[in-house]
Amino acid sequence: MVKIKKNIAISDSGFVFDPGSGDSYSLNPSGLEIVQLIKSGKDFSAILEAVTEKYEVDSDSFERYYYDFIATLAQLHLTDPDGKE
Amino acid sequence: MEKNKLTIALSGLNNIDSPGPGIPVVRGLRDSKEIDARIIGLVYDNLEPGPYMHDLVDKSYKVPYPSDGVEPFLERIRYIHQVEKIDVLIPNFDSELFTFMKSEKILREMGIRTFLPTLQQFEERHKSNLPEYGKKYGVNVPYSAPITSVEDFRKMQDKFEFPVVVKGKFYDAYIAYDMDQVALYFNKIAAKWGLPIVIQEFVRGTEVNVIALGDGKGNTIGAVPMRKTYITDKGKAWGGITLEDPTMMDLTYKIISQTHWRGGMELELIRTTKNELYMIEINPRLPAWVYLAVAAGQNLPEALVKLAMDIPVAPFTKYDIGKMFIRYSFDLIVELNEFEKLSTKGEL
Repeated sequence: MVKIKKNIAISDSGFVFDPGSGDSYSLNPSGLEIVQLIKSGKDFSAILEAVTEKYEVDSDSFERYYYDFIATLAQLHLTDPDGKE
Repeated sequence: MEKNKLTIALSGLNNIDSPGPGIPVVRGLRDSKEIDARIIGLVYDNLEPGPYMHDLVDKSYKVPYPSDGVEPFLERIRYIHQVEKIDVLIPNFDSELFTFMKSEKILREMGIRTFLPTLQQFEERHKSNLPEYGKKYGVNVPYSAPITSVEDFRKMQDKFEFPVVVKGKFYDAYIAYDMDQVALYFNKIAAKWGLPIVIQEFVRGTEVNVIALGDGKGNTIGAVPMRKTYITDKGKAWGGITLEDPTMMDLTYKIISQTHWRGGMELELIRTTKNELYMIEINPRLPAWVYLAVAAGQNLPEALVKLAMDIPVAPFTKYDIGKMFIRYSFDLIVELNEFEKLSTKGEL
């Protein structure tokens, strides 16, 4: 399961701060929602269910966007390298 | 609580694009709840902004350059001390530290206290001695060697891979990608800061820094890690942010406890993509971004003055993470008569 690093601060406005590197990022509302779902401990299938229920998106497209997004988070060192999905 | 009234003299009031630490140190002292400081500026140039910043600096005196010799310098300090009764003196330039360290005893006899590294601590952390330093204290350092001519570098070129960093004894560093650039930067730096020039292996990564204060007994009184978020063409921080970084803190504690570092310092480090820390330099004084540490909860200038006055100081245990600074420029308007006073009488 993908895990966001414990020390990463994420505000309700979508502002993300990595205290280790000093870098900060802005998430759009959909990104913030996904990150919050990940932070709450949900795995991909639970997130897929939550998102497809709420939004008009098919599973295949969402899966592609999701893993693309996760790869970006990993590239920015925001995810725990030990957490896998 | 009644504040402790102290007269504090300091240099480094050149608050310019490559600023000295003087003004930020004064800001820290002005924020102190324990010290009521009368600030005496020691000025090398009539156009240093500090003397004209009257809300921060109470009185300024021109002083001769350390390169003019210890005696003229001490003579001037003696005169200033007669008038001002200096309690603590904080030199803020690398280039003047040697003079002050050499004169520490004389100053003390005059009644002026300092809180500086020892000569041994100062010498062994010189850029040209870094490889030995790394070996002695078990710290990763890039390979480097001092040279006194470009020919010296030609002879040892096989020990390096381009690019290399060409560094001055006190200040300035340039990345050179070939022999021509080494020669260019060698001449440029040597003309300004003299010899030797240090050639250093270029370590790729992110530059991170730690400001720290050692009590001279092996204890770290305070330490705050920072990453420059905006760097000027001179390599100076125009913006920075405090970090949460236990490895940088551990390295700082290790260096201070092993060397018994006395006074302020700045560790310049490179974090590689493999997450290794390389120490590229130790600056033997508080850096110009010291006010970020003050704002993050560690008033290191105040602590340094207290250490100089033998007032007990409890080590800081925390600081705010994610505290930022953004430097800005400001046109200070100066009346001609003020400039005239400093230029002709050497006092303002």
